[in-house]
Amino acid sequence: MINAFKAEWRKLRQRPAVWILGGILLVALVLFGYAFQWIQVTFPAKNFHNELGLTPAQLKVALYPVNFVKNSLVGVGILGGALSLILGALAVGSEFGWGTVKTVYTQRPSRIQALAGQLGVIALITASYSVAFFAVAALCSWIIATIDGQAATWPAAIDILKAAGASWLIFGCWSLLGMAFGYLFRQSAMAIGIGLAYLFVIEGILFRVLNGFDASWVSTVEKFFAGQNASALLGSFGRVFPSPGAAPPLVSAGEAVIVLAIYTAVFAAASALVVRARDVT
Amino acid sequence: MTSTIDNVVSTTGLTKRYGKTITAVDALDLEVRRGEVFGFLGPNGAGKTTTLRMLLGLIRPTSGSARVVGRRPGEPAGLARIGSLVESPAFYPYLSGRENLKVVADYAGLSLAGIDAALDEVELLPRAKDRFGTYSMGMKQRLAVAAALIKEPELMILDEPTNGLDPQGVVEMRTLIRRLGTGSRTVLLSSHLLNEVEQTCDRVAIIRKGKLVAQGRVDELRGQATLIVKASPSDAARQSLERMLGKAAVAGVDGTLRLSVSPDRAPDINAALVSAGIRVSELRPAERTLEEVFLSLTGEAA
Repeated sequence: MINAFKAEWRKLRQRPAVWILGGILLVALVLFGYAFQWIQVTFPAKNFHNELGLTPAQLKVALYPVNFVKNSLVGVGILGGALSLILGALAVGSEFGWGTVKTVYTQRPSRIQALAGQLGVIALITASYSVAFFAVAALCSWIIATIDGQAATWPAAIDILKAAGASWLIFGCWSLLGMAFGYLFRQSAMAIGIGLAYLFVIEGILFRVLNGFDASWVSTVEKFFAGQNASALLGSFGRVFPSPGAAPPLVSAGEAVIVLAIYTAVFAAASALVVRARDVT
Repeated sequence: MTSTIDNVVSTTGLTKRYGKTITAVDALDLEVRRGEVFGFLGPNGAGKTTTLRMLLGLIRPTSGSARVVGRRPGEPAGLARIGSLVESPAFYPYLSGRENLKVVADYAGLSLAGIDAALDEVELLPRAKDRFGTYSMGMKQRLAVAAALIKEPELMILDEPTNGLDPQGVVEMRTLIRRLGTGSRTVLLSSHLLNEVEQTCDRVAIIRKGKLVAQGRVDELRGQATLIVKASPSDAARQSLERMLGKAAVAGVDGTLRLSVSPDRAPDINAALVSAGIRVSELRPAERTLEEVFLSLTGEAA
């Protein structure tokens, strides 16, 4: 397995797509999480209006270091999940597109060892996405505080670690779904298409249909969907300015972690089943 | 030693079916002996690649069994001793030739020290830093051979290694295969190029529609060499030769006689005919080519 991990790491760390996906996540964070918001509240329009009745100066607090975890997770967190799904689908689907799957399977490792190496490297890359995500968010917030002449007060280290761990779990879960689809469809395009469709559309449509039933089991069922749990986990870190009428998350952070961990294990097991059973033609 | 140990590859009743109607490989019994260059021939769709993929553990057989370097196909310990090139060479287009070999070495648990030597052996060292995606087909094939060589394998499985190559590339690959076949290494070569196989291989197997139709030494398959004689008067020549060699050794069609004797006897035969007053216009050895054998067994071109 160590050999497979080394080979996989050598391959993926040199693959431009891996770092382009990470780059997109960070650029989105900088632009949408900080730069545009800072411009909006620093140079407010004449007819500036906030739904919560907050002033630009009050809103600016969201961009300071003390709030960097909450601010960065809102909105951009889901993009990280989508990009991780693409990462997993590309890592597997391209092997079929290039025919390199047969090159891998005719070297020494067993198929399961090769898969384990791949899972390890994907875990490492998604961890690096997560660390880079919060490092860049912290840097942006520090720069903004410095520009505004504010002292940098940071959240508790444990909160930062929890947020990094939560985002890693979410990124890892979606990347493994992408991998499982990659093995199932033996290509990247369909794995990415169906994966993103599920992430952004299918679960939403399903909830809309389910909510048509006026029954108590509906909310119970919804608690077990991956997207719902990912949203609940991100939401558990709270918002800088909570909306008064917003519904609480369906599940607690602890429950969401358990459900997402189970999904992650199920996606890995599904990949292993397909890898073991399929002929390489 | 038992025959199993002598055989680097042995299959018994190896069969692969797809659904109920398609039988790609049908009860194949194959034996590849240690140290030989073994040709695996068959028309397109005969089941050659399916067989080789089963030997490498890429495809699971429907029934039958196989042992490759003493292991079941696909076992890690066995794969470590096999170098292979199955159909087109497949590597990562964004990595250089050298980095691709490092990936292969990592998977196989090998030191990276032998990579440049392998690249040098296939004459790719000057292009080692270039991306695989920029390589010509010939260079890609040679990189695949280098990837097989870094494992210092006791068995090389080469599936159509000259496919897609230009004439220069074919010549280079032919030279490389001959070099690979020296020493104790066993080479299992699937090819369409019957002339190549005839020149390179010790033994061959021919399959058609998934079934083995012949297996043996190349000279055995070609059969005994014969002598072709054209002489006049032909009837007198035939009678004279039948007296000399026996009726069974002489066959004739349209004035040309085919003698089932060793070509070494040509001078004696010539002298006997001339002394009998028969004029000999042609006397030459004749062997069936592997292509003729192949065509007679499969009924189609390779």
